[in-house]
Amino acid sequence: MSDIDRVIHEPARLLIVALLHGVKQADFLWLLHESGLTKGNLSSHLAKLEESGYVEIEKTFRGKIPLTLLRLTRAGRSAFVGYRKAVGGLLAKGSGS
Amino acid sequence: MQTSLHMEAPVTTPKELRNLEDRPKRYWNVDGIPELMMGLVWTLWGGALLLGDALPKSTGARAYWLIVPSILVLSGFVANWATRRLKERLTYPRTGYLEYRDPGRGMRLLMGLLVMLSAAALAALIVTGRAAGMEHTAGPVLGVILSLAFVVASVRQKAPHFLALAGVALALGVAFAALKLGWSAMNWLFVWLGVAASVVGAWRLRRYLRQHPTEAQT
Repeated sequence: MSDIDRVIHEPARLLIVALLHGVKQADFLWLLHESGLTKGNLSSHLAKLEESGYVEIEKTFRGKIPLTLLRLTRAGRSAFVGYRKAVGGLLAKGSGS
Repeated sequence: MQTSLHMEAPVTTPKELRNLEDRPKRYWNVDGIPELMMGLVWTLWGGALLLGDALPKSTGARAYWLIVPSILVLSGFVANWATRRLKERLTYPRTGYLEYRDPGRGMRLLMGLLVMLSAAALAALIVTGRAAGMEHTAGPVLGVILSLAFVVASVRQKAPHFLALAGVALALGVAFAALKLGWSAMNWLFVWLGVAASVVGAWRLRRYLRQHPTEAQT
């Protein structure tokens, strides 16, 4: 279990990182719809991911409307790939034993 | 940030994780706009080619065949532009915006190569078909090819409504084989498949707009 990244291992954060891994960047509204989390919950998990250096948050405008863009950093991408590998390894070990 | 043992998350399998990563792909078709625009373009293509065939041989017909192919090529770019503008106006304010990852140079080259090969195969089919008197098989063959393409798209994007379009393409191919329409069967196929795709797209767009009102409407 030593390879499991604790930041990503939390279910809501794993969901966020997995969704962002499939895109270049997305806005807060898309992530809110896709994750099914509440605004407050999503914000707090994003703050934690940003603090860990896994997610980059850019506050900008589209016309006069505020737009919060979210993207995985290089560290975030490699952490997710590592997590996926680690989980795959654990499952393989589990089924082998 | 590594942990030793605690399992806060139920172990998620790599397959489930891949499924989550694939969800953005499905978002492109969530609103019906791409099907609607594709349908309109196909109807325009098929209709323009049928009209050209129906024109009497004259200077007007020659001018038509000089201008229309450029307009048809241009229509593909216009449809792409219109799809993006419609998404900006209708989809992004309702369910959010996302930008897809760059497919990379290798994938772009592969896609370009596939398009060129498909065009070459179609051209070869027409040229050899004319010589071999295969005019009644071209339409049905195209129907089967398009039907398979819709099945692949349905599986890859987990979009069951593409199966309905696959069924329509196959049914049209079979119908045109029975009607023996000759080369015009390909144009009729584009017209009717385009109409079907537009109807499916418009219905999906209407449903999407109802299910996702803007904040001002709620």
